[in-house]
Amino acid sequence: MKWIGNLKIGVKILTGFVIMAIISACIGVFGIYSINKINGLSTELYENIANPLAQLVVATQDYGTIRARIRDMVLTHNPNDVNSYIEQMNSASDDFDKQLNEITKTLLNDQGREAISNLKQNKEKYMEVANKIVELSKENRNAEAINLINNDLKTAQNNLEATFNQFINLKTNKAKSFSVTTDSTYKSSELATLIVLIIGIVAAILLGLFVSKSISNPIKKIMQGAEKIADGDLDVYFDISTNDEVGILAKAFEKMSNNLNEVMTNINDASSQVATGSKQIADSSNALSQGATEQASTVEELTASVEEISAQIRLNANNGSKANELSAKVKENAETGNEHMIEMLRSMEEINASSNNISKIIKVIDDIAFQTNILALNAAVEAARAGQHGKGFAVVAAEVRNLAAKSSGAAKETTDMIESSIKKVEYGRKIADETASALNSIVTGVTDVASLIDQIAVASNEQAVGIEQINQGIIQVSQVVQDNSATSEEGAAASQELSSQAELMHQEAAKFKLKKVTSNGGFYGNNENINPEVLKMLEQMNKKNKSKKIDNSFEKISSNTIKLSDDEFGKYEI
Amino acid sequence: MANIIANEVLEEEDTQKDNFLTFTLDSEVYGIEIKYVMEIIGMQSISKVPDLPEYVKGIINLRGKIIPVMDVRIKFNKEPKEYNDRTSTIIVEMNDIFVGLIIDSVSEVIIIPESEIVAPPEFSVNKNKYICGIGKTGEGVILLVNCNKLLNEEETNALDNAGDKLL
Amino acid sequence: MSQNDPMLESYIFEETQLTDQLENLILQNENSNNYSSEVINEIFRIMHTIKGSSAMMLFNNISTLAHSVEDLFYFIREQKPKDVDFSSLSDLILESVDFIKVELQKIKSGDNADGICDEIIEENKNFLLKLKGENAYKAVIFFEDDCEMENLRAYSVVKNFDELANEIYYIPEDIIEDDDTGKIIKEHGFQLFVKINKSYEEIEKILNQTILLKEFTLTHLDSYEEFEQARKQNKPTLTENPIEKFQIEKKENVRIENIPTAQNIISVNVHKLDQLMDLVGEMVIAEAMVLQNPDLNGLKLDNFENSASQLHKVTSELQDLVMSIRMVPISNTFQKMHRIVRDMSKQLNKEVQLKLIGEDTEVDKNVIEHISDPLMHLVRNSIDHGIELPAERENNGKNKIGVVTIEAKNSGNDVTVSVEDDGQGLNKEKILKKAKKNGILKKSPEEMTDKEIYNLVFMPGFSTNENVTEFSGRGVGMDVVVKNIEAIGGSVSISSVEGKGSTTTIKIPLTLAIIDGMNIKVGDTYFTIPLTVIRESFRLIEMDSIININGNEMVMVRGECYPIIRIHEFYGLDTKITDFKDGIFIMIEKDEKYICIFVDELLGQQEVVVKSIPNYIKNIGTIRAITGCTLLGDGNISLILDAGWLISTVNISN
Repeated sequence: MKWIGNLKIGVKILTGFVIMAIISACIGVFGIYSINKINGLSTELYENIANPLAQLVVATQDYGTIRARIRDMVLTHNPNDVNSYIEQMNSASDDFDKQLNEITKTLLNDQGREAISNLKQNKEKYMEVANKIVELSKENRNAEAINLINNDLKTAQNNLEATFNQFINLKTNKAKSFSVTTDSTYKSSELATLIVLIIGIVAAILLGLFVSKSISNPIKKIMQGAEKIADGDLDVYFDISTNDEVGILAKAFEKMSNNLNEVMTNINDASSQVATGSKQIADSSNALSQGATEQASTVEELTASVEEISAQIRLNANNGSKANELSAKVKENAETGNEHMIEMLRSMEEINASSNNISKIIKVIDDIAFQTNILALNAAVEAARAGQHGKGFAVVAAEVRNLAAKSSGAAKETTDMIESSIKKVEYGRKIADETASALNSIVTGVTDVASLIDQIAVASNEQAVGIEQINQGIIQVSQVVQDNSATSEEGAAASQELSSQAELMHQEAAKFKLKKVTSNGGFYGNNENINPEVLKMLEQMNKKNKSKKIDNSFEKISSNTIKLSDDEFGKYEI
Repeated sequence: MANIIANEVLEEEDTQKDNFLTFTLDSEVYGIEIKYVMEIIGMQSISKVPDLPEYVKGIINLRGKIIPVMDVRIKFNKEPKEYNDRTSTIIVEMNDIFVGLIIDSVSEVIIIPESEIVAPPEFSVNKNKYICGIGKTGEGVILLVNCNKLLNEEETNALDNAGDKLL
Repeated sequence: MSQNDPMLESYIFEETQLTDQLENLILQNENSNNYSSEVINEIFRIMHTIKGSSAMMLFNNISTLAHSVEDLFYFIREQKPKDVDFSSLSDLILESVDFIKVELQKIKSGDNADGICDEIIEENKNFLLKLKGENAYKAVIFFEDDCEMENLRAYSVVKNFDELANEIYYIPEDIIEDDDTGKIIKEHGFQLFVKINKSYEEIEKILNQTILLKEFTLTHLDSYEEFEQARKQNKPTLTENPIEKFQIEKKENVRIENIPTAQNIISVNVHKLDQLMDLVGEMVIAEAMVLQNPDLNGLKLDNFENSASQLHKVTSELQDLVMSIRMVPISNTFQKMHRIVRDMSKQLNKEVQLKLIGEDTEVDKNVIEHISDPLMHLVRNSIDHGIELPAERENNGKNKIGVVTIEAKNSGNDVTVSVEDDGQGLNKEKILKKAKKNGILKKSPEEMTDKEIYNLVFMPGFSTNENVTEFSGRGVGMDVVVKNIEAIGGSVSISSVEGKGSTTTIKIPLTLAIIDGMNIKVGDTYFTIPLTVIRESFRLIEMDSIININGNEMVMVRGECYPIIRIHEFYGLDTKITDFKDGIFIMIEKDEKYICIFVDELLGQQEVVVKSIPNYIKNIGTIRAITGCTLLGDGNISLILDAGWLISTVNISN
């Protein structure tokens, strides 16, 4: 029966149903057969009995009509009516024939046939008479008609009726026979059907049971198993070996439970880790936050220092400016000194120039003296020419000449004096030149100093600017740090959340009873290996935090980590 | 009255006569009769005139009057000197002829009475043409220049050729 | 009498002028045989003036003579008689003129004007009388009894007649001054003697017009006796106080009649004009010195420029004016020649026609005076020695009437006056003979060129002194002519063709000339070329234009070849510009001959005052092609080039 069991459920069911169907069909068929039989009988009945009887009736009617008509015909004096009665009689006769024909068709036996033939004969005979009557009627030979009626016709009629009755009896007998047959058929069928029915029922029930059992048992098992799983007991086995759907299902359930197991185990682990991790994160976030806070404070300190430096630098710059001013002043003074020197030189030059001018003028005076001399001579000439009258003038001319000579002499002396004066001026000028150059060098030196100081001042300014920028930068860093702090707090909060969620998850996961089966899946050995990625992450965090003096936090984290793994690992011992 | 006038005129001439304007060429002192002397001027720019003897330096513009000038040094066959601002020109006039004499320098107007004038010696023929006497003064001797000869040496030649001129 | 008495001088001047004028008038109109009324008026006026002036100067003879002529012309003017014998009238007047002239000469030279002209006066008078149908009237006028101031009334009567009558005499004479004459007039009446060319009726009418006239008697005088008496009575007024009378008359008439002349002419001392000329010359120079002052170089002074040009304009005008004042057209002198020709031709019975060319040539006043006499002499010579007798002329196939042509023209800086005659020319033998005779031959005749022979006539002692007329009683000889000419710096030359005629040419330089010149520079020397000779100036573009023919450099200008004179070479001047391309060429022309001179640079055009080369230099010798010098604006002296001279050098070499 294994192979049955391996059938698919569907097949099984289907088979069952098919069998059921067959049974039913048998039953049905049987029934149908019986019914058919019956049906046939009934039909026969109808056809052979009922119908002909009906037809007989009709024929009878027709007979009636004929009779009527004959009568009518005789009775009436209307030719028209006669005609019409003739017609009717004819038609009825035709119809009578037709019916007989019909009946003939359905004659079952010779008796019948005989009957009918008698009928027909009788009818014909009748008819003959009828026709005669008709003829008589037409000829209005009513009396004869009547006579015939009463005689021939009647005989014919009686014959006819007798045949009619014969036939009817036949047919009625036939009917009876039929009915008996039918009853018997019915009865037999009824029995057969009942038997078959019972067989069928039984078979059906058995089959049904069988099938259902083959189905429901495994299903039950599965059900049970599922129940278990649902309750969180993943440690279930499905003892089903059939290969039908249920078997497959059972297998699947097994698989499922295995998988679930695995998964849950994983989840468990993971959630543990997550919990761990998030705790770590939380911790580290905290640490970060703390660190950030510390950073901020440090930044504050830094800012303060920078401020100090800035102030220093400003002071520097101011000093530098002051020094610059001072040196500028010194330079100015030196330059003023220089200018004065230059002016002095200039005035010496001017002295020289005016000396030269004086020289020139002296020369002019000399020239004038010369010209005067000439004039005087001219005057003397004129005086001489004027003769007597010019004597006085000649004296004047002589005097003028004397004056001219004196002027000339004085001019010469002045020239000499001028020359010595010029020489002295030259000397003084030389000294002035030297002084001027000394002053110049002072000026140059001072200028250099001034420029240096200037540079210093400029540099200080730039420093101040730089410091300012640093300040700005620090402020920004501070900002960032604060942001970081906030963020890390948020992070911490989030991770706390996460941690708690992980706890929840863990708890949820813990609800499942896991089996200790090695299958593909991630069971963690009893090692201290944390997920390497997580470890890396943490290490990185650690590194970062180290520089910000949150080593202790890191250690906390790392130690936490380790602890976590140990603790949590224990949890998942199967 | 006419006599008095005549006397005065005579006296005038006398007064003029002994008056000489002295000038120097190198170390020599020359004298020229004052009656010929128009005036004494300093150096002026001389416009050269071609076709003239070497000693005629050219012509000058004296207050609108055009006067030829002669370098006496060259005329006396001395080495010509460069003119400086001490060089003077004596404008002399004789018979409506004006000439400027370029000389080294003028000295003075002195009176040399006739008694102090002697005839020139006979050595330098060239100069002698122009010297008509030697005047003695306290400081030395003054070579008295014959203005006529100085100015008009050529005129005698000109007069000879008067006939040609008319053609 | 002092020579320089300005009044006398002006008198002489005026009279000379007037007589000249008169003479000219006469000569002009002589042939027309009719004197127009203007001429008559003119003559009258002249005579009147002469009369007055002479009387004032106490030259009574002249005055009287003038008076007679005046009377004559007065009559002619007023009465306009017909049938006047104008030619004899002319003679008459000319006689008077001559007399006056002679007297003037005497006065001029300081002699006494003691000519006797009674004869002429008589002649004049007679002429006048002939002309006149002159009437003499005597009127005795009585005024109303109770009218006062009869003398003045009488005077008004006199006035009425004054203009009409030729002669008026009245008794009493002192009607203006002496009020007592009124009484005389009251008692005896006013006696009026009048010589008038009016009819009796006319006189009557006039007398009737007298205001407050009571009665008058008018008698026609047949003879002049009474007239003469009256005149004699009045004569003292004339002779004793001629000045007064004439002063009065002069006053009256001078006002009327001298004014026209005074308006036209003023007599100016020539000396002053000379000074003016000199000053103007100086001013031109000074103006140039101011306007071309080196100090102004480069300055842009618009206002100054305007004013400067204004100044220049005014100076130029002044210059021109003053020049023109001095410049007198030679026509005056020429006109005199007419007289001479006329006289001489009449005298010598030769028929001579005088042709005057270039009368408008203006010559300096100074020059005119010096040229007048020589010219006269030359003309006389021409007529005398040159022009043959009419018969002789005809025989020689010449026109009967000889022609003496006096031509004056301006040629650059000179004025050339030539006297040409178509007479018989100079006869060399004659000259030589005479020269020999007078011992003025220097060379042997064979060695002498024609020119030299001709020039012998200029020698002193060659005078043809047979004719001494009152005109030229100067002791003329050709030599004196020459002297006169040379005194003003001119020259005389004579040329002749025997049998055809001779020409004497006088060349006189314009002493003070202001010419338009172009200043140029060669080396350090400035030259001025008169603009009149400059045709064009140009820069040489291509050396191809220079061609060399026989060592003579020529330049091609528009297809024509012109010889080149390098001025710097010509005068031996130092200059940096010796290459033709660096300097300027100036094309000059004289007498249709063209040359090009090469100079350093053109300085510009300037009106320059020509000053003659100083005498000293002239005495030394001539400077080639220099005719004078001038002062430039910056004080430099520029030599004036003589184009003709330069051109002639080239032509000679060619």
